[in-house]
Amino acid sequence: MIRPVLLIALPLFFAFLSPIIGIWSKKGVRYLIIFATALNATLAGILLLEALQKPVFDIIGGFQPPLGIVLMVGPLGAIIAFIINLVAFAISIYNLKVEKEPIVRYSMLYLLLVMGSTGMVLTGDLFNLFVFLEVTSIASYGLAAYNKDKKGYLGAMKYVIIGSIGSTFVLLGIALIYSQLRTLNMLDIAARIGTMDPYVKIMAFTSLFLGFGVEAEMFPLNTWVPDAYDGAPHPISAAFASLPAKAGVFALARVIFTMFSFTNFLWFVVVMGLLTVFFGEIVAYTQKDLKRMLAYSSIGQMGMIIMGLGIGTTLAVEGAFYQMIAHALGKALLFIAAGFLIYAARSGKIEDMKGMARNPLIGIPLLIGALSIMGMPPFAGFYGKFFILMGGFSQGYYAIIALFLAASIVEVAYYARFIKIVFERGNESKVIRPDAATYVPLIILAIIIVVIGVYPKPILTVLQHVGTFIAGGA
Amino acid sequence: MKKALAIVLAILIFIVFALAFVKIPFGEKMSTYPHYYNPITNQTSNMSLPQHYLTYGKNDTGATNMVTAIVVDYRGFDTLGEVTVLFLASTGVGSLMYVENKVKKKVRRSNAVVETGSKLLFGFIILFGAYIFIHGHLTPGGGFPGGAVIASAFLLLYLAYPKFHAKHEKLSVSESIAGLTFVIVGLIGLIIAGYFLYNFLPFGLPTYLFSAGVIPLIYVAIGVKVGSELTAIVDSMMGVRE
Repeated sequence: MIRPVLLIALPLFFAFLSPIIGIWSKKGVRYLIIFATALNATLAGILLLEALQKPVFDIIGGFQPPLGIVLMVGPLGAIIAFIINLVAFAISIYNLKVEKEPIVRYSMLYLLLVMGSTGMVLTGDLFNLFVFLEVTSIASYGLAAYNKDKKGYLGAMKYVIIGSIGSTFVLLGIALIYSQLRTLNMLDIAARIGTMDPYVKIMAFTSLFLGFGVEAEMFPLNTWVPDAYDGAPHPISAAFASLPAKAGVFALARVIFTMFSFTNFLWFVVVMGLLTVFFGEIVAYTQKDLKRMLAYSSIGQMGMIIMGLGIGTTLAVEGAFYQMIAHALGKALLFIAAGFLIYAARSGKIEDMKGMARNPLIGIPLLIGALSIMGMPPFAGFYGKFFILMGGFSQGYYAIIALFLAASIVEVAYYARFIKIVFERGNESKVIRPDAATYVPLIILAIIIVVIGVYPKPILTVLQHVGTFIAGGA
Repeated sequence: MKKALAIVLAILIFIVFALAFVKIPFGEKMSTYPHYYNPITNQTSNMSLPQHYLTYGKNDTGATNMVTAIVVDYRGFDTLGEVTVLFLASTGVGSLMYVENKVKKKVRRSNAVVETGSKLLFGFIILFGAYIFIHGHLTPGGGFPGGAVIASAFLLLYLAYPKFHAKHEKLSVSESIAGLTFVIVGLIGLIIAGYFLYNFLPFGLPTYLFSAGVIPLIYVAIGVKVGSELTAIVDSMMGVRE
């Protein structure tokens, strides 16, 4: 039996331990981080198996909720935590390529970013969610500026300003809820949400929605995304797309379903999602810079997830969760590959990367990742989009479905253009061989994408619990 | 135009939130608060959450300072998170201020009065800070203010002596050991009683220094940690001086 709190306590332990180890060996710290994330991924896997039987509650400090804090892990939370930690493990291998000093501090920030994202998914207490949001975002600010160049500072500065405003909104929402219900436990809030004043309830929902929308890259709170992704070190861009973004959107789902118990079509959320999709995909089409293109594409994908949550039928929310998993895997892979391509081409422009992906160790995973993000069968990304479409279709939201499909076509167009350039025959002499720290995480992620695309049954079994999740369960 | 739009928007947001905050019953009697509900045992209690803290807080935690009882014991996990936030802030500042070839800044010497005075005061400030965090479970204060007071003692030395320089290794080691203490206390609780951050030591007599179980232990760790972290932030921002 695994206690969920270990997923938070052990990374903290290793993060606090690393400065001491760093005095003797900086290399030791790097491997300690890989070990910590691998351990976390294993524990999350075991936790997933347990949560499938029945939701796991972990009472902290021995005080019954809502007196104390409780961690609440249902099957959906467990699988998102598992994917977050799995991707974090893959990225931590790629972290070996980061050479800029101070590497010990970099490793600690990275591990705490993983810890914060995991905590946001596991917690069952609203204020605790805010604390983990702070941990995640402050770690992100530090990492976004790590390159210490103009681009990094610009991105981090934008992120700090928008992120702090978002956190403030979350805190305001929590204050409103606590002032009326005098509790912070999510299930306690859910049980008594009906007794709240309707106006205060709407304001609290709006504040929380906007606050978590910053991390979930929702339009119009996402102007930090391209700059922060572009300026951050390559592994961190990969981590941003798969860790805090997924934790943020899961927190949104918690707010919508667990706490406020909305079960039907939420037009407000759908419209925000649709705007996010369009903003992301259309701007991505115009980008010439690889990392910026991927960042805008990430916005588009997050919009699709938000849309799926807003449509609110079992099928659509199932699709949203599938999309979360597929996007976490696929975008991390693409950003790692982008890091290699930028290194090989010595430029961030897509047009300079002619033929750079012709080495199969890079090319094949890159192709799998891009096809999965585009939503091609038999890769992981297909099911997510398909379920969201079917969910909308079965409820008769044809206009929304048509717009969704139009945005997907734009997405296919710019990925196809990118793939054509990087696989073009051209300057073969300049193609370089990637080293193990680059291709091992790529291959790990590509294998998972193919496996859950060809054999989606395990994921679908977990996602069967979406019904209980929408109904307000763990 | 842009500015006018921003002002209008800010006023609108203010009005919308003010309308919501008007509905908060400030200063209302605690007995009118809604009663809490335990989602695990599925029971509604006969009192509200703040009432429970004030009525049973001393029995539950052994601390006479109710703020400390909530911060370190009832919601100790949040405090672990907040300590991590400060740790992240100090690490982030350290990594951003890190430069390979340090340029030395020229600093003027301060005068003899300031130097002697700060030397005299240093010990007292440290003593006061330590008092605040050691007595956190009894009197107002705790690890965070105590740590800040300790950091201010170091700030005084930085201002008085141009060449003063706290050793970064020592700071990060004390910071790490304090953080590890917090996590290990939590893990011991998990092993002994099955709850992370469980208060496993005997509560003792309330109002005595050795009471409230693990709370003083955690507050000492937080005090040391906050003190060394803020000192590290001050040190990074001062740069290398000549």
